Amino acid sequence: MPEPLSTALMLGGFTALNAVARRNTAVSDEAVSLRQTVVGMVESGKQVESLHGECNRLVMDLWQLQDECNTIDWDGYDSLPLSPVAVQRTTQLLYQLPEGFTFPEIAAEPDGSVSLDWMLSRSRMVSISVGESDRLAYAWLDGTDKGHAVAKHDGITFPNRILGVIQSITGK
Amino acid sequence: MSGLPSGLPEHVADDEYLIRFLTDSNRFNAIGVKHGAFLPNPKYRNTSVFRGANDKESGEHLWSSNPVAGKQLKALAIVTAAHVRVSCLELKAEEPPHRHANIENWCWDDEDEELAKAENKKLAMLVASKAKLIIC
Repeated sequence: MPEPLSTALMLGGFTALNAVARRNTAVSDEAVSLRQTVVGMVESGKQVESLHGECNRLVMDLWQLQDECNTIDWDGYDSLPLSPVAVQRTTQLLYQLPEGFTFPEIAAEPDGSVSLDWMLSRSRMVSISVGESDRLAYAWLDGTDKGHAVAKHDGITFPNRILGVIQSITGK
Repeated sequence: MSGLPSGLPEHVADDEYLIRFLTDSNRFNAIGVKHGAFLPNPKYRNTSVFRGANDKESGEHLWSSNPVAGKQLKALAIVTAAHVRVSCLELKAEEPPHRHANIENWCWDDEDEELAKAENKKLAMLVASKAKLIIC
């Protein structure tokens, strides 16, 4: 059973998260709020053994990505800043990924969404686009097979339809 | 006869090499070019590329002619026009900038933006799967 975000954060390795959360960078109110929540949890003495180390590392990478992509034209191609709502939704999804699944790479997309990428080879990959909507666009290549679809994210669990595709591509 | 300032023909031939300048290290990894490198810009609904470079030297030369202010070139993604067209996308020369073209014909649907985006992801994956990566 996946942990809710708040529980997962409480169980996480907060030393590193705290360092990131305290950084003073030009990000949105929502992102600042999320970071302050993490700082507050650390300061209230809830630091416990890390059960979600890999996930925490990815969340830190995500926040760093948000810092790097927080202005328009961050890539020289007029791309939009990374959406704070997309970052929050991505954080939820990362903690909702069932145990045993490979964690994805993260990247920013031109429209301000976050891309979760599982790339096994040049012709074997699956990617989810996490934007402000609760509908997740995803696509995959598997040799000559390919496809694309949309799945709804209820905010509580990782969409099963997408898990099936990830499993078929990654074998895990 | 050419109508473009660069002297290149208006039509982008199938055997022409197209280069996408990558200024962000999240656009590639140890395996190769990631599909995000070719996703279209939502404002212009196309992907900007440059024509006629197939190696590091010519690619960097092209970049020096068309630098993006404040950005560092991290890598080059190179693909042929034929590979772009196989993915049902089209190419349109557009100068200036020098030797510039756009990948067009991406899917847009204002009534179902996510589904259109999913299709564009797939198309970008098809293009990226054929792209050569050169780290700068």
